[in-house]
Amino acid sequence: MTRLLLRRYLRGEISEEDWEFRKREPMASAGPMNLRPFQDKAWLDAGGAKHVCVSIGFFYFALPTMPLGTASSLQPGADVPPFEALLSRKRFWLRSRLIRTQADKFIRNPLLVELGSIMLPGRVERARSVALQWRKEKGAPAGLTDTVLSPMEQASAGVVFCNGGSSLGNVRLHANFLSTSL
Amino acid sequence: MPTFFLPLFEFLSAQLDFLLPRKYPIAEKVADAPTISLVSITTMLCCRPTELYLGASTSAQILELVVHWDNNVFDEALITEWLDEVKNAIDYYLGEDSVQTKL
Repeated sequence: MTRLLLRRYLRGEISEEDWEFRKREPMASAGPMNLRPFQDKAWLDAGGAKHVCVSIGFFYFALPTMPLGTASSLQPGADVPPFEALLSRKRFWLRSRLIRTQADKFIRNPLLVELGSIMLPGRVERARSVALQWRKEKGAPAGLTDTVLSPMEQASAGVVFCNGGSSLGNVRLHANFLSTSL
Repeated sequence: MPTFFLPLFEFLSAQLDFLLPRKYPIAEKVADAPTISLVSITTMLCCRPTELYLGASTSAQILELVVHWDNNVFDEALITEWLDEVKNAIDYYLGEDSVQTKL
């Protein structure tokens, strides 16, 4: 992600103001997580694990600023540096472990279900209201704009995720499940 | 509650052999050799509007990258650039040369 943005900056596609702002921001990301293990155990044991339904929440994590390394002072027109100039392999694993640690703390939060019960209905309602509007009007809601917002304008309204990641979790745990159910 | 901007870039990764065993029947007590082998797995999905979706899965020791995108939003040259970048990053950070680095 960092090297892709750097490419754009070096090609002159990102302004100095935007670039200086992006360089100083932490990298926020999120991903869906399986909520079934945290639901009613009797339901889970009675077949909830195999029941066809969406049962996900989201975990959130943040990394420090973009790992630009020695490339942080490059100017537009310069060549794109190799990976090792931005992020060494050791620091790649360090940042990977930072995510693992945060994800681990998140799912062990004793208020995990409560956090979901506060945040998720809002997400569902946003999607539902758009879908209902679309069905009613046969099109997008009026008043929308496709104006391109600067990174600063986006960040002024709330968290901006640099990407979202899906993971099937520790899929090794599924091996026994499949062996006994097929 | 803070406003969240939906990410335009999603990433899926999985080791599929644990989800989809490659030999059937898979019951451990079957004495005969497997009669059916799963040869290949393909990911099919429709990404959300405005989305660039990169996926990675591993089966039979082969890593496969897939990319799906909203053609109304992205130029194909940009998709190629992103895919190449991810491929090169995987090669650099997870490829054979990186093995000695992971402590």
